[in-house]
Amino acid sequence: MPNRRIPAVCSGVTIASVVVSCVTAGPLRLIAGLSLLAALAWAVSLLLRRPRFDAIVPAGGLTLVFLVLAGLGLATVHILSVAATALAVGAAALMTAWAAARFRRAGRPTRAARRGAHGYLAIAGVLLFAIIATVAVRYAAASATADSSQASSLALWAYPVGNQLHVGAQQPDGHGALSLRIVVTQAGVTAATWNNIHLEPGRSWDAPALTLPRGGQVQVVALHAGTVVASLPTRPSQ
Amino acid sequence: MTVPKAAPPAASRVLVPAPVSRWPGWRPARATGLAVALAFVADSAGVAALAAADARSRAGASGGYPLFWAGIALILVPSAWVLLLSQEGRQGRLAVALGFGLSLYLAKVVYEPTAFTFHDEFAHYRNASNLLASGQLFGYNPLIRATGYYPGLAVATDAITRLTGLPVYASGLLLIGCARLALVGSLFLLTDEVFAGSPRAAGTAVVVYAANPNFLYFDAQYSYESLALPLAVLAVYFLARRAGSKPTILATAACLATALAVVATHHVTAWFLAIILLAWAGAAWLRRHQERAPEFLPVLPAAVTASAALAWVLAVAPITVAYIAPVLTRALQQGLQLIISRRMSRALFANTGQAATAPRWEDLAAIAATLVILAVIPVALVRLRRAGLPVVAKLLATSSLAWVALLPLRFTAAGQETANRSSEFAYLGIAICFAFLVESLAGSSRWRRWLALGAVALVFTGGVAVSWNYAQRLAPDYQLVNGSATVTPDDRALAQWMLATLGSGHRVATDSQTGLALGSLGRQNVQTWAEDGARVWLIFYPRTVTSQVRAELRHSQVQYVVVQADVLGLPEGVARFDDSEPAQYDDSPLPAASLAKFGRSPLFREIYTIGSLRVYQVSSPEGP
Repeated sequence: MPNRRIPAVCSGVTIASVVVSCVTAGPLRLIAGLSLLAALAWAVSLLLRRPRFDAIVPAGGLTLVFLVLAGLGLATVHILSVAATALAVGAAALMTAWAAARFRRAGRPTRAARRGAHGYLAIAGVLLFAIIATVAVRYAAASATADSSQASSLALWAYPVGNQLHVGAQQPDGHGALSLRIVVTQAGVTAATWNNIHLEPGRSWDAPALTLPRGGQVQVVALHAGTVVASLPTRPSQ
Repeated sequence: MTVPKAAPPAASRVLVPAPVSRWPGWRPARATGLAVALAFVADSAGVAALAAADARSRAGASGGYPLFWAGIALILVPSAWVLLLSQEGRQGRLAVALGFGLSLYLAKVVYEPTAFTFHDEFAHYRNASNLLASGQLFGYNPLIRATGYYPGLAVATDAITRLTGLPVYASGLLLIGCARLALVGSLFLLTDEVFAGSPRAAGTAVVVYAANPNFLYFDAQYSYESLALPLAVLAVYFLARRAGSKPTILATAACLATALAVVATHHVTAWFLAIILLAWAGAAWLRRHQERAPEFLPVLPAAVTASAALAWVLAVAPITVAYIAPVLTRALQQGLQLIISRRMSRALFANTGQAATAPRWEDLAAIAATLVILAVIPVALVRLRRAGLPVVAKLLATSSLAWVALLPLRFTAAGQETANRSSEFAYLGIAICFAFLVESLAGSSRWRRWLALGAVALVFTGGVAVSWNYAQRLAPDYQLVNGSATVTPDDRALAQWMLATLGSGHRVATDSQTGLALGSLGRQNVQTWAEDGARVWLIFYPRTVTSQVRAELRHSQVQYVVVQADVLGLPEGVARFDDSEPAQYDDSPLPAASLAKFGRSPLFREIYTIGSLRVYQVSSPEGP
């Protein structure tokens, strides 16, 4: 009976993870997805019949192998989806866990090494590593975000679709809010003007589609406090 | 399933001296835990130092490089001490080896923890996003077309992304992190097994393998080789047995499944695995007939892997030949030139077009590391002939000669890439050579063990010194960097806008770095010579919109031209628009009129601007 306790727990985790990852989103799905992958690795490690720590490497490797081969199989029959992937991983975890239980009963049982004081010291070191490394990565992410997620200036666009012109602008993250005035001219004549466009950092603004007569150079200018901050084309045609 | 067993009876160990306590009054068990804990704490301090070094570099502050080397030293020294010199048991050493490998992977993560930054990462991002968007295999990849036909990485990423809801970037980090653990762990267990239970040899192999120049960054990036290579080592581990005995049927099945995953993931790694298995089968057959030794013949895994790799190239990815052959041909040509006419086409440690050059001591460390390896390989191979090790151990050790054979290619411009890219394979053999020598020579005396630690540390330092271009070894400061030398936030903003507004799959002509963002994040079909035969430099270099410009626009059916004005600031001798553009273009300054012509011609309509980037819609590809 004790041989069935671990596969039963593994199966419970697997089934719950499959359900949650299929029906939820956000942090719950993240936890469920990771739990499902961990359950598969756990089931494979049960099958390996080695002391638990020794089994981590081949179990993790075989989990990656399964993801590759199962993904290829699902993609080949054109059924790649959250449900199909979760069911495939879940089915593999269940079958492996129960196969491990069956093999164990038939074969010689394995026993995890007994954990002494040295084991707890090592685990404390690993935990400290996990905490400090996580803090270091988060610090690096914050530093990188401050530098790399900020575009250098306002983005301005004006692209034609049929005989309509679509005008818009976006203020990048990391810059202050911006008040804009956008003026569209055609052959030197003002075709449209939008005043008091307020752009918060990271937000964009799109004008209603503008229908312009054919012919004549179109220019779009974005001004802030009377100063041109962006224009299309960059220079008027000559 | 039964994989190779641990903890052999002491009598069966051929190389390992019995552990002797060097801490009187201190129980070995507690010393074990303390040493492991301290190694992990030092690893974490090293990762923190590396994160600080990258943050300083991003902020444009000085002091990044000393912090970088301090971080590397914190990761290397305590771990190497535990792995080579301590009285650790097998499990403690395996834990330290895993921590060591993971910490060096985190060096790449803290380099850019928010987005992919290396060239190949963009290409593989495109594969993953193609698969997520369409659910179809073998989607078009304009950045490196051949990668689209090796979908192993993309399908594994797809599975993690779908299960967890994480973005592709986070899924990729998780996947490659697990692969890194599998690589380090498999190498440790493989070495331990073939050396009949020698955790010190296994630990030495891990540290020496990590000294290969591609370990720190190249094989930590989100790329197919970063997944395939760990699986290849795992496949060999499943079959390897001490004294060359036969693995179980289930272990063989695990090897076959792993080998098939490798075949679907990366071409060169699949060929490498097939060659290793075929050579293993051949050598074991010879040994069995000559010495009547009961050596395992991996005929089935070798046959399956080789035929699957060949079938994949012929039936699924014939493009691989066109992708790999030119690289190897150029390397061979220049290698022959080097032998026949003794003409070098490349100076060592050349740093073309980069602002900063490496300090002299790094070059010296790299040279010294090379000399140490060159000294170790022959000694190890000669001594290995008489050692009672399984065929696979001797075979892997002999494969280190490939590294020696390819070394002269470092003096050639075209062969340098081939020599460099072979490091991650050849260092498996070098690692086995070092492991054997350290185990057989260093075990008997204390000073020899310290000498071994010094030699391994030197080899590691030399490997890190040539791991990545010095000027790019730390994270870039986007406020200072030339926009055409790296993918900038402006490139990413443009790519996202194009995908959201114009849709995917438009044919775009641009410079190489902007093309990476547009081809991956923007899912546009960026035109290049290597993948499409497009000569985009003919569009950009002329000062006016000539007939040649129109002809190339027509030929490549370009719909959008994206101009990065920062290419004007690139130094001469650096490709501006395409890696294949002729040197006659690179070697002269690019006039501003060449880029300004797009704004003056009625053929182009400027539709988007951000920073130094301009997007022009080609209003009539046929030309007025």
